[in-house]
Amino acid sequence: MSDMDQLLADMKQGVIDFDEDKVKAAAQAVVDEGYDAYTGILDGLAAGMEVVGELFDSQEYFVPEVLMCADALYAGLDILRPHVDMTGRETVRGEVVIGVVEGDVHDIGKNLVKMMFEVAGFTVHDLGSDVPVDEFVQKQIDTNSDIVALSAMMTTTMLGMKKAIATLREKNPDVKILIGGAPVTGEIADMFGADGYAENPTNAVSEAIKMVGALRRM
Amino acid sequence: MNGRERFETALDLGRADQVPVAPPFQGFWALDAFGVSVPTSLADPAKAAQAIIQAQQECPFDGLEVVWDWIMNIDLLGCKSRIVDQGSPVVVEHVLSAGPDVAKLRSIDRTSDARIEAAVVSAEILLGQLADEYFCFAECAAPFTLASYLRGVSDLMTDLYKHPDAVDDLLDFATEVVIDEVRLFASLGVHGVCIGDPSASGSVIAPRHYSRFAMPSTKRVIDAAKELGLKPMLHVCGDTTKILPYIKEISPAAFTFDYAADVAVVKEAIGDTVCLIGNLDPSGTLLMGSAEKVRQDTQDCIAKGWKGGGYVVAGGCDVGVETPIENVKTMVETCALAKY
Repeated sequence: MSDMDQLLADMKQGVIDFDEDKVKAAAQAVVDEGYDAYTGILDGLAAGMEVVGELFDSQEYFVPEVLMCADALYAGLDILRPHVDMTGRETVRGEVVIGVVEGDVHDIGKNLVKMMFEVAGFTVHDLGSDVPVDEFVQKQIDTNSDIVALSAMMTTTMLGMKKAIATLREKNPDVKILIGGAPVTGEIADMFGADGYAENPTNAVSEAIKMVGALRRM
Repeated sequence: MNGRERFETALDLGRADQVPVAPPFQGFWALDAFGVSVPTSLADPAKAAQAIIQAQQECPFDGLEVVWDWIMNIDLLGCKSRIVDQGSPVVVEHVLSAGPDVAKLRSIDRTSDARIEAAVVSAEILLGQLADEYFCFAECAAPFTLASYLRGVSDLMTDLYKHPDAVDDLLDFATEVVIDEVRLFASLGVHGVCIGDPSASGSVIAPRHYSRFAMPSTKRVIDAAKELGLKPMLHVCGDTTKILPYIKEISPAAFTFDYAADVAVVKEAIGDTVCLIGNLDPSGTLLMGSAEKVRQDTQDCIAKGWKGGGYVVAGGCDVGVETPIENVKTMVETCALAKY
């Protein structure tokens, strides 16, 4: 195993075990040894988070564990991100406005999606929670973001998404709208007129990449 | 039997004349369905009570909540809520967001707070009109959930690992607050109290964390409610299959559970000592389903839970705001027809 392979394995396992010190040490070593920081993020940190997602789905990990893993990931991301070199890479990335809709303050899911977007190299404008539609609209206009990602954890606030989507479209017909949250389903996303549905944080990113790709081709 | 007798028969694990039915939590839904905004309900609690009574006339539950503002203490404790037009007020600032510094928390002076005053006034009106015929209960947050609002849910979750001793202190404080609240409800004359614990959901924290953190404080509140002569009920969201042994140990009069758990499984695990209340899908069935789907799902629940009694049909969680009245009515009527 090369040094870099070992460091990737350490970062991956460090995220899974929520061992911040292990992740930080490995991430620092990547920088010090001059290895590729972007590979470190994707094949070390993100790879670990993918396993964490599986552990959550199989009910071995719950929300406290996932959050501890996210803390470990961020510890590594903070070290690696300043050293990322995107020259010569074929990537489709973009800008995302994200927030939890008005009347709702459940933001754990939104924060995990935000983290995955950042890992994947998107620029994220996080409006926080209990966000009125007008704020989503204004931020999208101000930043010229490709995507607006809406989150809701309650049925009541999820219903508010329908109007939010209509208003966003009215102001900018080209913007792509991604929705997610516990009560949201693919069916509801279609019904509400969203462009994409995020079943989980990893899926949110792959949906977003597809959307930005589509926009770039327009 | 009237509704109260029916509900209490179920709580005593008996079999009533027909299948009892409860929302379980209908307050905010009823306000909206009968034209009362939340700000109006606080400024004019008589109007709020009227909306609850109208809802009860349309959809006569055997048991219903007469106190629905389930975290009404939260601003007195130092947090900041935003009162929205529909649904529960939203906690936008957490008093312990900087860290689990329990010494920072102040004790409550309940003497002048709009939310508590309004809750007391509307509860008194409702009890005056409904308490003879229906089982009337108050809803409040369990200590673990209250702690999560004081600290912020995300931060409390990582505190379980990073600061477990501070979590214990915070839960001790929250338990005292909740027991005090239960004393207030008892003084109003409610028949029971339902402790709601969404932050301890079976889908949010591991069973070992439920046992270590949520269970002891919950049990203290349930025991206090019993000592005060109230029937204590416990609600935990999500898939609670793996924490059923702990629910049994807590020993509430009733356990109200979410649609993710299976009635038959819950009945098997705890039905010999705990009354079951649940568990239609509040979103997929009650809010967005057809009346026929509501009827079918209600009948499925009855088929699984009714045998031997000790069972009340209900939604798996709050009746969501904007749930069609027709759907709620269908759930109630389907139960009224189920005489065994």
